[in-house]
Amino acid sequence: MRIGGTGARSAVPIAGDMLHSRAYGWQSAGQLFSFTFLRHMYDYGTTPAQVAAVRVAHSEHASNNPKAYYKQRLAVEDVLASRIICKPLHLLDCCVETDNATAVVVTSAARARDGRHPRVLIRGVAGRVCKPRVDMHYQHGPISTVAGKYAREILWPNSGVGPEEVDVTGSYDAFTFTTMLQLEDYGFCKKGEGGQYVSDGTIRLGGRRPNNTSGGHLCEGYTHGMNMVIENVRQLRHDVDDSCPIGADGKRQHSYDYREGGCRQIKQCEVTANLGWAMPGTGSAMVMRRH
Amino acid sequence: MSITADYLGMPLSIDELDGENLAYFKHCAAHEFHLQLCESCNLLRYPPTTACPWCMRADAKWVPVEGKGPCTPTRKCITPFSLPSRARTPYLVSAGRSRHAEGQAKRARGLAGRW
Repeated sequence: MRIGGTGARSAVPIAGDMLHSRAYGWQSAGQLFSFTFLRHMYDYGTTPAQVAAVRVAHSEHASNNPKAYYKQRLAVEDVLASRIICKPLHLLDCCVETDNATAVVVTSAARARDGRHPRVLIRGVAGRVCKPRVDMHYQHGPISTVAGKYAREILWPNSGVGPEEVDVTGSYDAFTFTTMLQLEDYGFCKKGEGGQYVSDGTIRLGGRRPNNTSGGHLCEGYTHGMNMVIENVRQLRHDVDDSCPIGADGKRQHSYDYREGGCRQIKQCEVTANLGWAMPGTGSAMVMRRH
Repeated sequence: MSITADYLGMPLSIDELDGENLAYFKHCAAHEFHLQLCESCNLLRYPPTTACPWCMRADAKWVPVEGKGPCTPTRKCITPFSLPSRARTPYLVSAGRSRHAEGQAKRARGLAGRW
């Protein structure tokens, strides 16, 4: 579904709940979410340059993904120099809408034993978790808090692991800010320290816990979070489809050299976490592990 | 009866089954700001809904609310996402806090503990 409404959709009457949002200029996802982003900046001093580091990291990851839509590596300055869409969002803080298809096969662990790929097991999920008020979520508590704060209470106990044990994250990056807010509220760093977490190298390939190693929505393509699930499965199989050569045994010979055009496989990837998002007040998550 | 209108070039429609919005905008047409007050948990709610988003009960009454309050936060929309808004960008959108809602989030959190 296209989010914009510059064609025939702009003539569709505004009705129901949209009388209290769209009619007042809340039309795009960025416009709807920016209150949450702005409040985080106000409360914690988070800067556009810090969250621009998310785009920078994901662009580096995409440069090692032959299938990524945007493969060019970017710098923080590139993001900040791009035009403003809706403050505080620059053009390069936003993902691009793409047409694509993804598929995931889920079966029992016993049945998967017969597959030709190494097994990847689902350790735990938290499905469609909402803040107590989901429509106008900020009416119930801090505006800068997202559903991950509630989902983590389900996810980590269900999975039997905590954020510290996760090797790779796949955090929904419709915008650079959404990744930061989720990593923070799922407990990968303290509340308010998300800006530091995403800009200190932790989420880059070669960092302590890379995020969206395929490039994510910002660079690989927008698939409502499914490409991050698929990428984490690849990581757990130790079989990421980068540009590393395939050996005589048919397996890719990963170099772990993360320079442009190189490898994007994580060494000894054992546990991953996917952090899904629908809007600030709603999210789902999944933890997987290598068998 | 359904109501249709044009607002800043945008077509608006309120279906005859949408009783809550009909009531809300009827007050607006009289230049009055009224919100629903849940008769079970005594919390205000916006936008108008059939059931209370805090306690899920249906009984509510319309009460006058002062249309003033601090803004938190305000943002500027630069890029238009529809033809009607193209002529009006850049524009500001603010979230306001009504003084009638002071302490409401804390009380709502208490209700959430029951779910």
